[in-house]
Amino acid sequence: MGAQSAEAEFDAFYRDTARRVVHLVYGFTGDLTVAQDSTQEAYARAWQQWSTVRTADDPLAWVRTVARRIAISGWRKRTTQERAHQRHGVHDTTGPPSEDRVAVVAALRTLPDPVRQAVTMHYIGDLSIEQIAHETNTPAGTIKARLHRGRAQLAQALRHEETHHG
Amino acid sequence: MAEHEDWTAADDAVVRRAMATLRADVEATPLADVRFVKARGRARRRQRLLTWGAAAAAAVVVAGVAGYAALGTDRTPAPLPPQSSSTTTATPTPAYAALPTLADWRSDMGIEAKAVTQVATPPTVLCGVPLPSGFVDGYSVGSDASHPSGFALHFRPTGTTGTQAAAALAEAVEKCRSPYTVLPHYRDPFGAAWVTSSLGSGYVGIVSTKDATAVLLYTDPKLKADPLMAGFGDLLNTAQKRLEADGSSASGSTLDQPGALPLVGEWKQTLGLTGAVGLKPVKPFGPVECLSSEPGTKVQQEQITTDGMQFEGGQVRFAIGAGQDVATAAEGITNDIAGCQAGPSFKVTAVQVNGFPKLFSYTAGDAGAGWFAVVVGVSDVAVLQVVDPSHARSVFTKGQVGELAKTATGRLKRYGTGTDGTPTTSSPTINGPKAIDEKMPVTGPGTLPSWKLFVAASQWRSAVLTGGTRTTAGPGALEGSTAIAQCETDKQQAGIGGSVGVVSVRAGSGSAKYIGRQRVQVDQSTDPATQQGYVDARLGEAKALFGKGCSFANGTVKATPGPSAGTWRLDTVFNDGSPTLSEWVGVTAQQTPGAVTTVVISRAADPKQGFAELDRLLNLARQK
Repeated sequence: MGAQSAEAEFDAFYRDTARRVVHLVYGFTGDLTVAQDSTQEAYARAWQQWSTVRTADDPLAWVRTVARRIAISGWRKRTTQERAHQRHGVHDTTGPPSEDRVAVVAALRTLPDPVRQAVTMHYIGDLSIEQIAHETNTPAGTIKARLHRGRAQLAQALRHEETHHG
Repeated sequence: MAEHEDWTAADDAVVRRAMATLRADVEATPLADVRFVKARGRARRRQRLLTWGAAAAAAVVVAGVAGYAALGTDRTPAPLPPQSSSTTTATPTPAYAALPTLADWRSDMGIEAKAVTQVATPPTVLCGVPLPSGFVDGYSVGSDASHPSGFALHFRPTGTTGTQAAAALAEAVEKCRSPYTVLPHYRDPFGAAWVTSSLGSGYVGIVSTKDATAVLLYTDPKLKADPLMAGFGDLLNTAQKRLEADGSSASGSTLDQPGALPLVGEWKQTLGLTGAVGLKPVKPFGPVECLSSEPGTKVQQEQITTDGMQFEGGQVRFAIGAGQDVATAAEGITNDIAGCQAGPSFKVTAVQVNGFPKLFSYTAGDAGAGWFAVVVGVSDVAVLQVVDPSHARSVFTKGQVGELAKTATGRLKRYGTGTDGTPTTSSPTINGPKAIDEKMPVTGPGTLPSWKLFVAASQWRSAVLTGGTRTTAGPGALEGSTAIAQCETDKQQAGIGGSVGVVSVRAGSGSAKYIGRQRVQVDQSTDPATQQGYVDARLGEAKALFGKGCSFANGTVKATPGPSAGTWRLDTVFNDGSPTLSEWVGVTAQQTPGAVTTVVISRAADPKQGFAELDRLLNLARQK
């Protein structure tokens, strides 16, 4: 594969999938800035070794997993992040939070991490129970239970928000 | 199942609406430009961060998994981590110089511990497989079995390399099933694998250098699945760097140690670097900042990193082919650097430009500052880069960088291309007569490589190959096919990208006089790393294809390796009693980036000289 075609292939991959990854990480962390940055970092890593990633069974799963881990573990040091932004002149592009977003994020945060992960991967990532089980290396039955529990808890929390805020 | 029954379709709708709200936020936010994302990826390479890509590349050896309790030795204490210790220290350093520090475990894995505990008794067995000899040291951290804990072991194996020992360890732990369940199919994106059991979950990784191996384990009894601890990737990277730094300091760093470019210890000493300093080859080769074009053949590229990323360094070496002038090639690089505009605030200042080495300092605004040094050897040009990302003006002095460049000069002249020293890379070796250019017909299915990349037909002529008969290029019986050797097929060749062409050579005239063929394949990209990858892939394919021979309907092809790497004699034995046919096949990279050639001699006047003639032709091809 030539460099030109690799570039074009990656560009298309990024264009077609990046928002879905941002959305997924956003749902999991409740922080859009973190979601954007983690996603960019994950795609940067994918580009860094695109010749390998592109041959994976599911490159998007690779990026999704990396982005999720970056966001969750907080492995990147803040200083590195800031320097990277400075080098490239990137600034926070997120606007102020909407009321809806605050409510949803608050509701999501009531869920335990594994449950929130299953819910976001299913509802945002559009992944099946089997796919989530595969990506998280967790039994499908466990994922199913987490989804059911998360769905009910989330709905309850959201309804509670609606009741209080009209 | 009560919780399942709590869920209703209405809940589902509520959740979907909520998630759609988040989606609106995402859609309303501009997506980062893909160019920025790719620049970030490239910057990762330039900045020499030992993150997952490097970790994965370094570690085919990053293994799967076993707890120390799974070592299978009766000396192994339980529970994890090992309790066989007798000595407690406030910090793993300096006794554990090749292993992560306590602070690393705290910051990366969140282990709450104030001291480490020495593994006093060398472990000897892992899952029934003997561990390497040469146990140096090891420790556990977090001795309370009800909390997260870790342990680390450091070996300097004898009788085998660190990498081989690591591979053996990896193979052994893959088979471990108790007390931890190994999940061999699962690999963390950061380069580790993980295990789970009733005792909790965790990660295990193995890192190695040529001389040493380290095993790290992290377990958390409260984690039952999906640890999601990317910090372990950082810990592995730290372990790799410390292992490398320890290796360089243990073995010293003098000019007597082979290496065409400065060793990590020399970087450390000349620049006064402190802490763990690591040096790693860049594979596949990547671009070099500021160079718009690269001379000769890039044969070595390395990156230097330190803890905390307060310093980054890089060095690259180009072998300049016969017939090319080293100084001219170096001047080309010098001009590129002097005129470099790598960013809006990027400014280069010539500090020392009379003779060699040449030194340039630069400032890059918020991105810091640094130095370039251009160094020449007998047949090499090297570029060293010192990156000081945290200062507007580099804290490194002309004297320091000059000293490093001086060291590089000494190394190039002693160990570089065209010297008596042992080359440190698999760069093409050019010996014997000089290749000439001769315009010849090239055949192939699509875009054809230049005829200049082929060995001149007249240079095939020799006493032992043609009996002195004049040789010419001409259309061959295989015109249109790019499969030129036994075991190759058109179908197999059709799957290979790049431009490809074949020149057929005959001794005398007539279609029955062909004595051999040369095929050239060229990657059509301009990215050096892609080109290198293409060449490596072709060389690997040849080794796999010709190394084992093949069979066909009416016989078999037996492969005999030649005295030089990448050469084989292929003897075709027919089932119907037809005489055995022999041909000599060789594959080599060429001087032109991204070019690889296959030479086949199908008829030799003196078959005993087949391999010698093949080597002669391959040497000519390498110069192209």
